[in-house]
Amino acid sequence: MDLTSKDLGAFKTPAIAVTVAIAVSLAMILFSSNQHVQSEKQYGNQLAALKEAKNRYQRSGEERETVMHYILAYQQLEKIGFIGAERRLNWVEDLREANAQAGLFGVDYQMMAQEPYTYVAKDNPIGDRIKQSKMRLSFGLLHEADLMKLFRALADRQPGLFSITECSLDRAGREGVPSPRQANLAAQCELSWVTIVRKEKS
Amino acid sequence: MSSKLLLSVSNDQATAAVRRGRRLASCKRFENDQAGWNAFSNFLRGFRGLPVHIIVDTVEEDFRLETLPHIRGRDRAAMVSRKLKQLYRATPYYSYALLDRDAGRRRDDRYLFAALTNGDILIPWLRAIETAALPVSGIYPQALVSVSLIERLKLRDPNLLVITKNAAGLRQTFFKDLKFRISRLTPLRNATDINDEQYAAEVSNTRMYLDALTVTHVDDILGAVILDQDGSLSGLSAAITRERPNTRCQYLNISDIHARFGIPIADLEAFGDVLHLYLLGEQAPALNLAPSYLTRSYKRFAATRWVYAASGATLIGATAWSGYNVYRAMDIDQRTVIARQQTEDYQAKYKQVAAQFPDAPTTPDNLRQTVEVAEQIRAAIRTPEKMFSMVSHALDTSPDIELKRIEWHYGDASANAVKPGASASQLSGGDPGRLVQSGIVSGEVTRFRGDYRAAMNIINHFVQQIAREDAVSDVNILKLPLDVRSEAALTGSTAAAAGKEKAQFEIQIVFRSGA
Repeated sequence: MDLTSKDLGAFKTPAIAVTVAIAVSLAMILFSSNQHVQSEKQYGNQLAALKEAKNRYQRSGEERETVMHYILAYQQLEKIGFIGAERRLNWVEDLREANAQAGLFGVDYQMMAQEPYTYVAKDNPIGDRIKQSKMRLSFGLLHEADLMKLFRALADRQPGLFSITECSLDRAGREGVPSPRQANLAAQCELSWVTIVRKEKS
Repeated sequence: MSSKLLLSVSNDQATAAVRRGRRLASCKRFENDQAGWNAFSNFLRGFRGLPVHIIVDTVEEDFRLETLPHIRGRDRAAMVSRKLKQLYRATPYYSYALLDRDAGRRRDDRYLFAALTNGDILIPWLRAIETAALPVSGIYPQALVSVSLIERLKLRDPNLLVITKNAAGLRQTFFKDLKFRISRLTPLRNATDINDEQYAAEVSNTRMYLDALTVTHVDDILGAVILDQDGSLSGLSAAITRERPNTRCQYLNISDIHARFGIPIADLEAFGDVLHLYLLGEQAPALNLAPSYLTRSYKRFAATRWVYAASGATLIGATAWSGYNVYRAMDIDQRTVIARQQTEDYQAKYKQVAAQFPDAPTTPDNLRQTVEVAEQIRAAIRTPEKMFSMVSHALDTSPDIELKRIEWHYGDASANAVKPGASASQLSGGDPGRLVQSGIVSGEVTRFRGDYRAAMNIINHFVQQIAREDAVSDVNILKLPLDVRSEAALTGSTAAAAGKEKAQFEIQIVFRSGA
């Protein structure tokens, strides 16, 4: 059958109707499908939350034991500054006091930007919250035993958790008999100040 | 079921009705004159968009049974078209139906050709329909509309004559083996005093005609079904059997017709064509006399209606689908609410229990993990003291060695493998990532007089002293006063003055893992 303009004209309204019907149908299906998916997602999340709440309640006895066991150590870590923001001012002050106590000739320091601490097992759940800041120290020593005297004096001040990662002693061109009033050895060390980002109670 | 307008046209009048659902409504008769046509036009105004199905009940009709060779497809269409044009040159109202195939050897096809030989009868009615812009679905001979009576009345006679009295007259339609064969209309224009014997004579004429055609034999039993709407044929059964005793008559009066078809008695009494309008409304015959130009608007109408139906079906399907989705979503939401309630219950219970805990700044898990990780870090802390002590002990037994520089490293094994002669695997015992101590000691042999062999012995002794320590994994000599390795170049002078040269060396100390 050859289509005439009259035939095409007659199909104008039905074409609009079918287009509208398809558009409305698609909109309805997409909207309702989206609702369905959202509901399923919410339900999944809620189930996970329920499971966690149930487990937490069932483990509440263990948790109490955990709190009792670790609270003091945790508070001590908080006190020395291991937990929370870095206390660089304290570190520098403690270093100055340690230098004075060890009777050294002064310590030059250079502190780097904070970076992740990589010496924790990758599967440790809090590993990504542990950070370190490296500090390079340069100072003169009368005798090699003075090196450990400095670090002990620093550790006694409990400025935080630090680890010595490098140290070198150099005679620095001073040959012959050691002098009792000047630095006979040049020391260069690197410390790593370790802190953990605080996690608030949820 | 969709509504349709049904129209039965005869020479004197037309009867129209609207079929809604399974019922006929708005039944009305129109005389075949200007007043009737005007009334029909007015009648049509109320039924915009309804398709019109037309019955033609007139003597100016023709039915032919033809046997043609069995062919298919376009060839058959062309052959039948040629035949129809040959038979019915003067009218556009013709059509055909394929009845069955011949039982003979050639298995030819048997066709029924039908035509309305004078279409003038339809002109005023079609004009009104066209003016009202109603689509014409089809035009059907009244005789063929009767075919559906066979099924409705469960008729089984091999020689069957259906007798009806309609607005146009007495219609006799004969079926051989339940297939249409011939139909005769005897007009009864203005005839009011016709008795049963005259009707019976018409039936007798039909029988004689059938006998003459050898469609029936004179001794064959004929089943005659008399449909009498107005009670004028009540004595016809007796009259027929008087003339031809081998006729088995079945008489259906107005009550019987009402009971069988559900057509209101008032309509049956008022309109002679109402039964056939009802039958047409139920099922249209396959043979349609309407030419294609007449049914074009109906085809358009049917196509648009199909599109609307498809649109509706799409919407219904989408609504059902969406409804199912919404129902599922609501069901899931309900379960979510229950789960949330349970979660809150557990959280409340936990809070009650946790209220008795010591006041903690963080979660118990975090508390434990933080302390444990701090302990791990503390446990891993090392100082250079051990290495300095070891070197000091070794120097005590090697008074000819003077240290120039001492380095200590503590860290990742791979990061410490910076000096030639020491690989990362050596440093860490094949476990990269583990923290190890290592160191480099640089010194020289004092009182060196150019005796390299003696100097080497002093250095080796020093190295052995260090290597003896339990904490030491390996000691590598990085530099000697004289490099005697075959792969290295060696330069020097035997004329060098004693005491001017220096016997310098450099060694690397690698600690055991965990030391």
